[in-house]
Amino acid sequence: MNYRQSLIAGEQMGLRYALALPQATLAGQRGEHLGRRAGSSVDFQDYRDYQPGDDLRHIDWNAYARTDQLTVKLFREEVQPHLDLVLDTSASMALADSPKAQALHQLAALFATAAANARCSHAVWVTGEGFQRVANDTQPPSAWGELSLGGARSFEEAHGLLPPRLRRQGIRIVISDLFWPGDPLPTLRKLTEGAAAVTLVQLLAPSDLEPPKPGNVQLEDSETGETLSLYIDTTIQEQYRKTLQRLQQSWDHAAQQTGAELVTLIADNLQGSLRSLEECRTLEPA
Amino acid sequence: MPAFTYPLAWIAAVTLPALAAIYFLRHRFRRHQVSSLLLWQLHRESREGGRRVEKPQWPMVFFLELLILALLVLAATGPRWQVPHTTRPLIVVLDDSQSMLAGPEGERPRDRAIEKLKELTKERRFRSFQLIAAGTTPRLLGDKARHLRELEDQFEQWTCQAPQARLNAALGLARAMGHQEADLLVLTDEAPARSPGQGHLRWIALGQPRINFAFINAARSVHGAEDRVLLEIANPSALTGTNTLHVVAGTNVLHRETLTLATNKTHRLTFPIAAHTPKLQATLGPDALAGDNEVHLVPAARPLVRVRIAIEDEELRGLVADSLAATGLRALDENPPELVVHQSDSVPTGKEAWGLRWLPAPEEPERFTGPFVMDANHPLTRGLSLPGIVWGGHSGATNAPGYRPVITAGNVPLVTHRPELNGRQQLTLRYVPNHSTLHTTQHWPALFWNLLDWRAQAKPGLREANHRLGLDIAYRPAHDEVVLQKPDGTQQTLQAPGTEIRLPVNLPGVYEVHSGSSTNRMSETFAVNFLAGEESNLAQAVSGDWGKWGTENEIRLEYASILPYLVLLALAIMVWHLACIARQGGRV
Repeated sequence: MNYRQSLIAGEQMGLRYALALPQATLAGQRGEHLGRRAGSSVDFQDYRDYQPGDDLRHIDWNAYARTDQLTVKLFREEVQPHLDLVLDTSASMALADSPKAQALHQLAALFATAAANARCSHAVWVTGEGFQRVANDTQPPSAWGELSLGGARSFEEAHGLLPPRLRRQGIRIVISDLFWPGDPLPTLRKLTEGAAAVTLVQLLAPSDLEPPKPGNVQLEDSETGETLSLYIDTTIQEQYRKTLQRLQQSWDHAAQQTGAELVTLIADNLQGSLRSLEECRTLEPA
Repeated sequence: MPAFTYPLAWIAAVTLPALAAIYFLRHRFRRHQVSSLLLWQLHRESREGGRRVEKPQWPMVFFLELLILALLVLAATGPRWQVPHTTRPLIVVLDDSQSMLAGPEGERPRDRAIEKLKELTKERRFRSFQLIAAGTTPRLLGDKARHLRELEDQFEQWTCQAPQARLNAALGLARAMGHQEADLLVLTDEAPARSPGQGHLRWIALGQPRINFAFINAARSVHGAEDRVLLEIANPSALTGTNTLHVVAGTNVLHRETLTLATNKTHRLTFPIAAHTPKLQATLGPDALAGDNEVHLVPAARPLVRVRIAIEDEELRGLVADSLAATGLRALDENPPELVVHQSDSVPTGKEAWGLRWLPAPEEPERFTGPFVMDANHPLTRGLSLPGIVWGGHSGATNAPGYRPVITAGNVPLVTHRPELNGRQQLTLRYVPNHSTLHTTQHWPALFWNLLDWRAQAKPGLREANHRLGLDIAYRPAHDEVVLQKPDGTQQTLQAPGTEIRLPVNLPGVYEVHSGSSTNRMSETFAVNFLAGEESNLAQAVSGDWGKWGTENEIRLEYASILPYLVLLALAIMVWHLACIARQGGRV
């Protein structure tokens, strides 16, 4: 299945969902959703004193007659929410002999379609030599340009070179395996800064969850090409599982500190994992 | 240098590279791409830091299996290794004759020999011990023992009851068993015929000259209607001595006499005794050797033969009856017959009936005057000679089919014989009394005595009632199982597959032997007496030490099999291998 077919499949999966919108903190261009600020909708929000430059059409003349004070009626702003899809397209997401890349495409298309169902605009960012937009990313996923996987830069490095220009008060969904060295908190703080909601989707291949079977194994890092020869036995297998658990705990801790949601999905069972996205109120039925 | 019994077994060594290939294919490094080495960082850092020893690429069980295979292959080749031996085995030849019991308890040559052996083993180390008793025939007293204390049971079997010690025969056996390697030791009470000198043999005599009276001859034989007893007592000592002789039968004292005998003199006593007198016991007073101071004589055997004369001619019948009566071996009873003298064409019935067919006289008999040819080995011709006699027979007669001639006149068979498969014997006799002179000579009853004695010897049971210890005692059992009751009260059951066996007798005294079914059980009593003048002669007993063994520390390289060690080692490693597998949860 090539990337296009994966995107189409993800798009079809996304038709059943809509992106869940956090009402309290939404901001964006004029649109169909009520924003947190005053705007031009028909929903009355508040009064305030007239200030020069205010639209004269919003002066409440009845109140002026009663109080002899120029008072302006404020209405709720109508905004269109925005989704920034930040995709980790480093080489680890294209792990050989795993459905990781296919799942990444499907998930990206799913979220973009769910955003469209929720009348959200969206942008898709991928890692490379810094973060870049995907061609035609505002279009439906089937019209996107290729998500070039296999970049030599890790998520952190790409973020350091050229961070994505994420829209303020927008919804941000990061899809990555989160195998970043070092403390995840600084990077996560940057991702959550000024965001209405951040969801971290940790996409793992089955081989990321379970270490290789016992025996002599030469491990090769998919991003750096570095190798490590090991004799794997039950002890080392157990150590691997504990290390993965510690990594997930550190991310979970960082997510709690920054108000983000962390969801782990397994690439070979994507369909079955989507319920966890509903449970964390990232998606909702369309 | 090792040697291999089956060098072709090295072919099995191909399993070693095969095992290595299996493990190589199974344990070579698999390439495995991972998303990031981040999660393996701990192992990488540990390895680079040198703090953690990386597990071997070839697991321990591989090396264990390799070792097991190598050991089994090596064991299959039957390896033998040259190992040095610094001690020799010791084979001890023990004089098993009665003279080893001469003297008071504790001073007997047998007791001194055991002490001497223990003393020798303290002075010199031996690899193993083997005891051979030298009696009438040499016999092993048991298995080879590593330590002297393991020989206590074997010493119990050294009873010293033999009438003679065939030390040379026992030494021959010891040399054959020792393979020119063992040290040989003879413990006896007599000097060697030739001093052995330096080598493997050491001869130690522990005897002492003593005064000893002994029965050297004792017999109870048939003498007409009664028995005749012969007792011969000797003083083979170096000094004149006195002793007393008692002869009793049950509680009746038959004879009492004080004997004073000079050196090497004998005293002979003969007297008649009623045939029905039961067991007779003659004893001498206590002296140095007790074994030769007592003899038992049971009633002599009187084997009589039941003979039926089936001859109608009165004259001839009378001749046969007289001839049989002259032998003294014919029983009064004739039923069931054991010998039938007849003139019929058919052989007599009855599984025990032998037949003597007296062929009818021809109308014109021929008188043969010789030369007569006799089968000298035939029982009928024992002591028989036919010089100057006239034998009236059948001219031109030939022997019947299956019959072989025993006595012939030229080519004319006069007496023929045909053995049958069931043990019966059939004889034919061509003899015309009116034309012969044989029946008027002493050879005629001799011929009939031979016939009846032959028949009597073929009857079940013993031939003699009184025997000399050391000689074979033949017994014809009535059944294939024989029970022998010994003087010491023990019983021995013997299987007798043939018609005659030799009774295993090794103690003097009175024995009983039983055979036959419960309804027709045959029991006989016989006596065995220690009558050995040479052995009773304690004047020849000496003490001395002849011969020397070689150096104890002579080092020899001998091939010794190491196969058991290899198999044991392989088994131990297999257990270790199983433990490793179990520890790894069943994975290799």
